[in-house]
Order: sequence, then C-alpha cells, then structure tokens
Amino acid sequence: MAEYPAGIGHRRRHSGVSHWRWQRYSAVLVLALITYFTVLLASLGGLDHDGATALVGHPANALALAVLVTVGLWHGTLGLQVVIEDYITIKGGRQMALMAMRAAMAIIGLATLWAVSRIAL
Amino acid sequence: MARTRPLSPHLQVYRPQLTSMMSIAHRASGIVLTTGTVLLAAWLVALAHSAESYEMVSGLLAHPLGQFVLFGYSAALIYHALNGIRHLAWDLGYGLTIPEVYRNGHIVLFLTMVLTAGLWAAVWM
Repeated sequence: MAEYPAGIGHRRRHSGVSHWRWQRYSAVLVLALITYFTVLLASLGGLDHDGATALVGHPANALALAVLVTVGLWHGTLGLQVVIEDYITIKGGRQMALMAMRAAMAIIGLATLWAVSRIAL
Repeated sequence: MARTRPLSPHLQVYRPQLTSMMSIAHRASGIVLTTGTVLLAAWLVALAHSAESYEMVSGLLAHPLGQFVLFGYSAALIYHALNGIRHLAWDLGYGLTIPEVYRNGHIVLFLTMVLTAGLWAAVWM
C-alpha cells in the first residue's frame, strides 16, 4: 500500500476508482437504451402530439426514458467533471464550474423527469 | 507557474494525429451530447405542457436549421457511441497495439459516416 500525504489517502483513491467504474457502467446502460430509442424514433419518422404522447406515455418507454435521462446525465456529469478538472486550473474557479455544471445537469434532469411522469401518469 | 499548467496535453502545441484528434473529438462530442440534452428536455416539457407548445417545438425541429442541429447531434451521438465501444474494448485489454489503435480508429470513423447516413435515410424514407 502506497503512502499518501495526510488528507489524501483512502478517500481520494476510492473516489477516483469509483468515478472510472461508474463512467463505464453508465456508458453500457446508456448505449443500450439510446440504441433502442434511436431505432424506435427513426422507424417512426415525424410524430404528432398524440403519437408522441402515446409513445412517451407507454409505461415501458416512460420508464426506459426516465432511466436513460437519469443515467445519461450522470454519465455526462462524470465526463464534464473530467474536462473541467483538466482544463480549469484555478482552484476556486474549478469548484465553481463543477457546482454550476452539476446544478445545470440536475435542473435538466428534474425538468425531464417531471415531463415524463406527467405524460405517463 | 504550476497553477496554470493543464493536466491534459497543451492542445495548441500538440502535433495532430488520428489518435489525439479522435480523443479530443470524443470529449467534444460528449460535451455536445450532454449540453444537447436540453433539447430533449424542452421537447418533453412541451409535450407534457400542451399540444400548442408541442407543435411549436416540433416546428422548430422541422425547420432546416433545426434539422441541421439534429443531424449534428445524431453524428455526435453515433461517433461517441462507437468510439465509446472502442474505449470499452481498450478497458478490457483489446485492440491496444499501435496498428490496431489506428485500424479500429478508422473503422469508427467509417461506421460513424455509414450509420449517420443510414439513420437519416431511414428518417426521410
């Protein structure tokens, strides 16, 4: 076991590995769900209001869409975190950018989940 | 001095190669995809809100400019998905030698063009 300076140690090492892992687990799930929805939408072409409501309102699709958006945004959050950490080098600015990015992702996610549940329920 | 040094390659002094360009494109497409989720959210919120709002958003997306944005989004999605599979293969230890990295890189670029064209052919037919 390597020696780490005080305050780095286990916590830091654990969070790096779990970030790497979850980036990949989420990738596999998003890949499966996005393939399903892309093929579905491409096969339908244009959708009017009733058609779109029926599609999103179908319980299996609504659930799949909610999972896709939640896991997809999480995957995006992990990815943007790496970009911000790599290129924003000023300490305070980095923390601020990370917080703003996570807040934006949360707002997009909540708006989407609200819309999907309103259509499906 | 150390404070201003980025962790990743200095983009402006790095000689372009297929490998580095595809790596940067993976990040760029990831940023586009994550940001573009706003469009999906807007479409769904409009759908949940009313038929009028939905027609308005649909109209914007059907406009040539909207179609152009969707085309770009789909290309970014397909590239990121295929290159993501390439990354997952690397993570499992496959395709890591230099000739293989170039070969699977070319395959990803070729399939991105084919699948993007195929997707839009399917949408328009």
